[in-house]
Amino acid sequence: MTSEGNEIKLIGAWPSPFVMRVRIALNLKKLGYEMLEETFKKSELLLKSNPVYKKMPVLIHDGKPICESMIIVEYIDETWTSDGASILPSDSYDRAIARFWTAYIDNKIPDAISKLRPMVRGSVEAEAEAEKLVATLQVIEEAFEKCSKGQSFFGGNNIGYLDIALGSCLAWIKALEKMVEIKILIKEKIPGLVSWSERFCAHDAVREVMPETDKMVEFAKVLLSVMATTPAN
Amino acid sequence: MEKSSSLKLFGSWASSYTHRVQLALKLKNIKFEYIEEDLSNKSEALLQFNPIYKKVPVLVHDDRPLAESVIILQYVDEVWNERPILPADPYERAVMRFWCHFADDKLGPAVGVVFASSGEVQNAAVDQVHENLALIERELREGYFKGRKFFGGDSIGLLDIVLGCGSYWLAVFEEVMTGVKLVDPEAFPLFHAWLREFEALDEVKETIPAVDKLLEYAKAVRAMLLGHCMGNTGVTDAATPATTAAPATATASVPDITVDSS
Repeated sequence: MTSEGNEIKLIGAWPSPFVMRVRIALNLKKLGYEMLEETFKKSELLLKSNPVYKKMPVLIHDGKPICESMIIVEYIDETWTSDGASILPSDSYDRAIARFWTAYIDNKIPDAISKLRPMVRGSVEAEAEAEKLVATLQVIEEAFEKCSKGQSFFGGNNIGYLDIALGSCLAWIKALEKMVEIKILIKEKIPGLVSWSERFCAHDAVREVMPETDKMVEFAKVLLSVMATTPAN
Repeated sequence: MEKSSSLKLFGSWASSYTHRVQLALKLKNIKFEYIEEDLSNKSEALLQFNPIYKKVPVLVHDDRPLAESVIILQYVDEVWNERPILPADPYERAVMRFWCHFADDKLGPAVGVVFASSGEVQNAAVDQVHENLALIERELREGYFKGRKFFGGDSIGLLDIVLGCGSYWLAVFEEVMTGVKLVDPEAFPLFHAWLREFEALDEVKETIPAVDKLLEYAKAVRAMLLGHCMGNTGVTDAATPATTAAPATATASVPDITVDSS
């Protein structure tokens, strides 16, 4: 339910992990919004609302645009303070740590996903790239142990900022495991994160916006063929 | 309880990312111990406090380390709330965070490439810098920052600190690389005016090194980078003021000026 006078629109697309982050945050705050679904051709509204990057997601709150997924998540947390749980930790140091690991994730994981996506299934190349991604996740596993302090999520008992940052990547990670025939969510290497990922995907705020793996795989094929025929934008 | 009971900042004298934190601490009148790092010979302490990136600045508050300048700035603002550097309004905060991200994601790296390259590559990077500055200029002229003396309003805030500590390199680079024009006052009048206002502030003058020191440093690094690009080896001894510039790619190896030492 939105409070009176609050009009929330989200420019995005269902496969995007960055868009998913915002939707999870809106769900955590129990906020209603209008989803403006983008196609491969960018809408006028997107180009107008994010002239700097021309990318989704863009949140439009009472006509004002906010860009960059984790900045939007923070905006949502700071604007709606009484609805639902707090997304960022309450302690300043914990907040800084959550921001640090989120930046680390954004430095590493989207690139890794893009690299793996067009690779040939079972290829040596793909195996090598998958190993790198697992190594990155092993670093994050250590962070998970420290941040969660024995609880279910990076944020403690409930999902928070860092859970959202990493968890949103799970749809692509699982799709890649299937498409490229590689193993990433390896229990022996990242036990904490594997269990965490199951809990994350099952969470009320996540379930309905986390696409099924098969749907992602199908989308990936379409995406790859579009990318093969279109100049980079 | 003394909040600054144990506050250390690991930094490098020519690092704009270090300057950001020094400026914020100065504005808030917070006492701290400063440790100068030799980036060509990093201390055990630095490597222990920032194992992921091994870079400066690192803030250690009561033995708890933090890295990444913009993250450190927000932490400092939250813990010491006198003389705030972030605005109170969530939308303003989102706008500031967005442009800080832009500064470090787009503008900084483009400036770094300009400095580390020549010829066609440099020309392309100069165009990038101009495109990026044009976006900021537009916000100052007719967008969100219209009519403001500083991005933060009447006094400097997070975005001024982030953009300002770094933008002084633009004039230094123009001096070092004749023929390269980065901030033409005619093309970017408002950005130029803002930068002059920023640099005129006492706290800024006390934080940023003197121009001649920066020039000397920049010249040495530029010579080393170009020498390295042309295939010369063995130029990266510890005596060179160039710091982590030794290995690999041009963009990654520009010391302090781009994302490398954030």
